[in-house]
Amino acid sequence: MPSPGSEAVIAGLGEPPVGRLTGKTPTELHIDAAMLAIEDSGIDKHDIDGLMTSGTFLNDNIRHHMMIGEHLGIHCKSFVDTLRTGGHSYLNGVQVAQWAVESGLCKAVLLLRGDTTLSGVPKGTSMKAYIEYGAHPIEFEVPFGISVPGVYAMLAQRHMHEYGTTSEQLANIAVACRKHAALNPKAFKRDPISVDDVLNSRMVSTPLHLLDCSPPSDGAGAILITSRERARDLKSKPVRILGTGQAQSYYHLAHLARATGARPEDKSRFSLTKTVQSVAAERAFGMAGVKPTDIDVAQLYDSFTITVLMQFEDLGYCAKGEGGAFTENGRIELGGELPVNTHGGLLSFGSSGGINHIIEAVRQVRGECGDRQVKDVELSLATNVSAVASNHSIAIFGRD
Amino acid sequence: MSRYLPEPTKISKPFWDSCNAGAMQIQRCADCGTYAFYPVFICPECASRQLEWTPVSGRGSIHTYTVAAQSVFEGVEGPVVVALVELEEGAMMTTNIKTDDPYGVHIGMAVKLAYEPISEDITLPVFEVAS
Repeated sequence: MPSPGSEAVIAGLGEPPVGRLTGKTPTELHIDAAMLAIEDSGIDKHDIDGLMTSGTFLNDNIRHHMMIGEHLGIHCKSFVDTLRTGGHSYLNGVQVAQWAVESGLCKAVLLLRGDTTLSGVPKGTSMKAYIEYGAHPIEFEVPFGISVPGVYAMLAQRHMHEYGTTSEQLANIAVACRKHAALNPKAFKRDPISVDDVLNSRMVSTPLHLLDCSPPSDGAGAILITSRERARDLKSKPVRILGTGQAQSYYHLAHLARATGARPEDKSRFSLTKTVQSVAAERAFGMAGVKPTDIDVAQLYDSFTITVLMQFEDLGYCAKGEGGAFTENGRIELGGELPVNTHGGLLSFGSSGGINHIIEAVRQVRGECGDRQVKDVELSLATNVSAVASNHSIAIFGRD
Repeated sequence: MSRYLPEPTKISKPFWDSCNAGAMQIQRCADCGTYAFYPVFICPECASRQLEWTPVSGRGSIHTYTVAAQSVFEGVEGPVVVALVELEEGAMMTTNIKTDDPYGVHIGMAVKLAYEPISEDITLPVFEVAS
């Protein structure tokens, strides 16, 4: 445990507009987000000595963090990285920043994301870009016509087969995100949708419909992490990082399905439908000393509806196979037992990557969410997921 | 987007050669008996280097699948069935199910290995519904 003053806290947030931002460049979005976070916290930029970015879809450059640091005029750092674990880079980054601050390596770390995956990617080229980005195994999966929705569809199909999960249950997740987005003036997709709208939308890859898939969107985010002691001199309300956890497995479907290489006694714990998020969750909840049911509001990574449904099980909200039923009766909507994705999620708020889930989780603790604010939030949860639901990171946030 | 062709590597060339020959082989660990796929340098279960290229029966079943309304590749007509097939030997592979009834495919369905030449140098291992 760090000494009380050196405990890492979230002390600044930046979130430029999301949606279709024609004319914006990814670099510009990084700068916009960073300046908003610096302003929100009131920190002197010269005190920032840690910087993490994540590259962008069309510029996955190992020097990305250097380029952004130069634009911001953040000169000498004691820790930098361009994170490269896809959509889960940001809670990964929060945990790394926590270590950097609590070890004394850094005074303040800025974590950034910005991309124009909607307006900046020429029509008809995104699939090729995904493949060249390394989204799927190029020798043994891509030649058979695999796609990002296709991979998650294969997880959904297996989940339906094993547990009787239905398309209606998946649709409940898209509907909840949209209801919440309607209360968020910044959200990209705010027109109400029904379960029938989801089921009647175009079938992209069975069993996933168009509205089961998060739309491409431009967006950005920035998070400033510093010590609790230093945050006392800043202007924003600090939010504690009570628990963090990560777990990563594989990306070839065949090895995920068989838990290749796992200890023989562990193999039955993991499959396409039983992810290593359960391991990350044990760590995060254990560190925070709280139970899943103690959480007031959850921002769960939602690249697809199935991504969320499996998390109810792997985070410990219900038994394996009961994730479908968990989506029912308004349980995951505002006013329900576990409001999920109060900003609207990737499914309706927009943006890309997992940084905006973290920003919303912190805002709910700060009590700044307006019409979508959950009352008296003591504990909030955010998750990031990438690859084939095989890279996971989790954080539990609480009041200072 | 034009179709991506596998580019055989030092470790995968024997696999692609066996597909071209119409007699697919995968690696079997001589120490623990594990059938490994995709090609590996050491047995992912026991770390042995005693891996032997071994013919497979070609019988398997569908572990999971999806029917994509459209192919991601130009010149390939949809719908396309992308599946994860479990071979009788235990290894799994991502592949296509070639069938006139793509929406009739289901998990657990018995399938048999077939070969689809897609270029002069590459033949993909695909599967058909076993009668």
